[in-house]
Amino acid sequence: MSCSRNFSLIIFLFLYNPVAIAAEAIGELDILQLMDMEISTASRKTSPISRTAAAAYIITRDDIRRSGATSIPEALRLAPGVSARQIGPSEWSVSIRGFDGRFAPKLLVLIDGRSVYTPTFGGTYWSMQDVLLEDIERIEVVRGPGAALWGANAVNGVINIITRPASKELGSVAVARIGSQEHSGGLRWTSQPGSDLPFRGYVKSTHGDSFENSAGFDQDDDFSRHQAGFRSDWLVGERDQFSVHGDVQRLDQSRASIIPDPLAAPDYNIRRLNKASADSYNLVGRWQRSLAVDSEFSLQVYYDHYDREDLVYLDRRDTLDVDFQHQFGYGTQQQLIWGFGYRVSNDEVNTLINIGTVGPVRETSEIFSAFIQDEIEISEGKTWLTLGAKLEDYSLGDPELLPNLRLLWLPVANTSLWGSVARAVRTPSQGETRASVDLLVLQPSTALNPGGLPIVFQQQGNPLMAPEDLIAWELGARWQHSETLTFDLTYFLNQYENLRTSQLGSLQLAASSTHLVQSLPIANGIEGDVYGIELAADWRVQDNWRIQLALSSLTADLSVNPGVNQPPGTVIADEKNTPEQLLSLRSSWTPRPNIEVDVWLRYTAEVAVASPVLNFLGSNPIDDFVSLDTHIAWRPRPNLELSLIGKNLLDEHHPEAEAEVWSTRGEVPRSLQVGLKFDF
Amino acid sequence: MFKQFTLWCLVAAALGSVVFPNASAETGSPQLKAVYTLNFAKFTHWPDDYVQGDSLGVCYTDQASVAQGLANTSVTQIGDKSLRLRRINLPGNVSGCHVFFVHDQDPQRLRRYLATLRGLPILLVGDSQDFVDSGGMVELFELNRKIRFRINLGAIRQSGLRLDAQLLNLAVEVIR
Repeated sequence: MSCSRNFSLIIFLFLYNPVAIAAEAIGELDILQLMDMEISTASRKTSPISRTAAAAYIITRDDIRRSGATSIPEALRLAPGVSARQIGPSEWSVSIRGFDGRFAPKLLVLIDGRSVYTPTFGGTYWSMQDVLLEDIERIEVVRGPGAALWGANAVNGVINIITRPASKELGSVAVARIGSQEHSGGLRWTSQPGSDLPFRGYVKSTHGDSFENSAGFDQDDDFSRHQAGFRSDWLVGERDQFSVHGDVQRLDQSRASIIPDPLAAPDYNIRRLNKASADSYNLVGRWQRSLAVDSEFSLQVYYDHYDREDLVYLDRRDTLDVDFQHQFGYGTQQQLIWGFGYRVSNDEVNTLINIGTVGPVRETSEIFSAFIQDEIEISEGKTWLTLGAKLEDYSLGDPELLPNLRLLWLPVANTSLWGSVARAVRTPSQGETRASVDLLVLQPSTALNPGGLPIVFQQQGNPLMAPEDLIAWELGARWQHSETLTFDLTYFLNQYENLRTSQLGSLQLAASSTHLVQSLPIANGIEGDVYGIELAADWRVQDNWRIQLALSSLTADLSVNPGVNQPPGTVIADEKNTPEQLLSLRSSWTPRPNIEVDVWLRYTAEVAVASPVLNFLGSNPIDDFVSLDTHIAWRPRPNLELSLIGKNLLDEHHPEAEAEVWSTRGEVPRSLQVGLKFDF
Repeated sequence: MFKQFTLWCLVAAALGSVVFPNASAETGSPQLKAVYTLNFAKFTHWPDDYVQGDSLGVCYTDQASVAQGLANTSVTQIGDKSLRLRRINLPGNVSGCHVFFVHDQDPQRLRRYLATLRGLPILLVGDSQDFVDSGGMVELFELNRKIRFRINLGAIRQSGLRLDAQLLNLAVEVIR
């Protein structure tokens, strides 16, 4: 690959720089001299080079605040290799290492240990995922499979959103933001500091205005989201820690959908206002017990409910999940973790207009799982080998064994090299196995349909669909050039089998004789490789100035299996539905202790196939684009912050992404927002 | 497209080839705290059967503020013992640790870890708020732009360690 040569060039150039080891004279000072020394600079909170044998990136709460991000998907853009493109004010296409989409099914997302991946369509309802951003401790973004720990659907990545424990909260806060595109308000209140039963509660409301399309017509996709929640963490004795947290949410959103209707001559595909509402709540309880200095266990139970209904379908789901894990040292070189889990999920899905069927309306699915992982320190402080595997048994499919081998080597203190090979699977969504839905009507007497009857393209679920299968190979290097400059480079090769595709099925006259139905049955029909590189660099130019660079590039090389009959003219959407290059360059400057100035430049390469479904009718590419966001904050008093956030400043509007079906394309506008944050 | 990407690669390379100033003239609080931590070892006496061989183990958790300072220290010798640095993820194996700088972002989890370390002949140093009240032994804190410390003598005695009187005299506070 031509770019890996470029990266070797970068590394070559860097090797000429002297490795800065702080060989400080103060190391020789005695304690009396030490007590006389003044702290001369603001402390740099750098830590030694990561010892994780995975392409893991931590987005800190400071990063989020300084980025000006006002939603979780925006914050995810801070991590290298994450494609987070906005479809509408509340809808996003978020993915890692390819396979973008509103429902990117190969990415597992967890909020405080609770999975928000929905098996109905496979993916995450991003419009329903929110927290008070001020409560986030960090977001861990792991690129590459995490199936040996997290199970199925942790195929291309795992995103773990972690809020602060209530015992860590510093106090109550009120936040308000008013802007040209989005308004939000939030309030968090906490128990007294030092309380034996630390508690925090929050409320948050967000409202986003509609986008417009390229011609300036309103997309009717505004939204309102109201959310409240709480968290409490407490110790019983010295070794038992309990946590309870929960959230409730109401979401109202709409969008303009193009609904196919073979009886609606002459247009057949009718633009309709698609209003959606969703109610959700969850409750999580966790017990962690320290058994010894090298041993602890945790037991987590959660209940999650959502009830989403729009013009087209309703989706109600209740999930109960129990997870136990135990970690302990074995000898002086081994650290073992094992655990088991049970998840039961009950859902009700139904279409609300005449657009297809969804098979059994109610269904209960169960997953039993068990995992074990052994981290072996082969040579002290230098080499670690991690072996792990998870076994999952699904009530709706065959059991899967998901193994993983990782090796980490620290040849010198400032460099770490790692490699990994892992297997992961994506289990078929219920939409893929049982739903039959109308996608589009081809008008009669046109070039594509010269006949006299309209043709309905109908996607047909396949009850025999097998899981998509991945063997992932990764190599990574982290290098700390100096205390102020670090690099993180990863190469990955993902080898897929059994990827989903649509076949050309039969063309039949509908029972009503009013139209023809062209069925497109779903099949496991594609295999091949996706490979690429990801680079992150973090340079603290001065104590008050930091530059962060993230670059990623991928290439998908997929092919249709022999015997799979795609509609003529179909391109393999999974090869082309992802921007192949992403660049993020961020400058965080603190000219004065109470003033922050942040500038964030991003480049997103073009997407050749933005309409993956029925792309033989047209692929509607999206051009590459450059975005510029800024965040300026001023604290006139220690407990008061005023901020000015600008997003997408370089152009008036541009498209970033589009939903897979029934969609109209909106454009992301330039926007400004003023914010006020008050600690009390 | 690759052309564009090549361009970024070169931009990145250009950024990197600037020679960066060393931060060695500065003594930020992590570096100072790291030196304090190493110095405490000079004033500490371990049970005879615990110090084995010629090396003295100074351990630290990944999240510790001093981690960077310790990892890059030029010190190789403490008294007549050679220094052995080790990073530890808790829960984890702490054998070979004589001094342990313990930090965790979650104050309650830190308390749990400190409870599991109680009674072991390891000098527990930290800079979290209420570190000595949570079961730690030496707590570093900042006062008027200087580093000061308080000592939990009860926890130290319980673990079988002894501290030199000179160090106790320098502490802002000694909890017995």
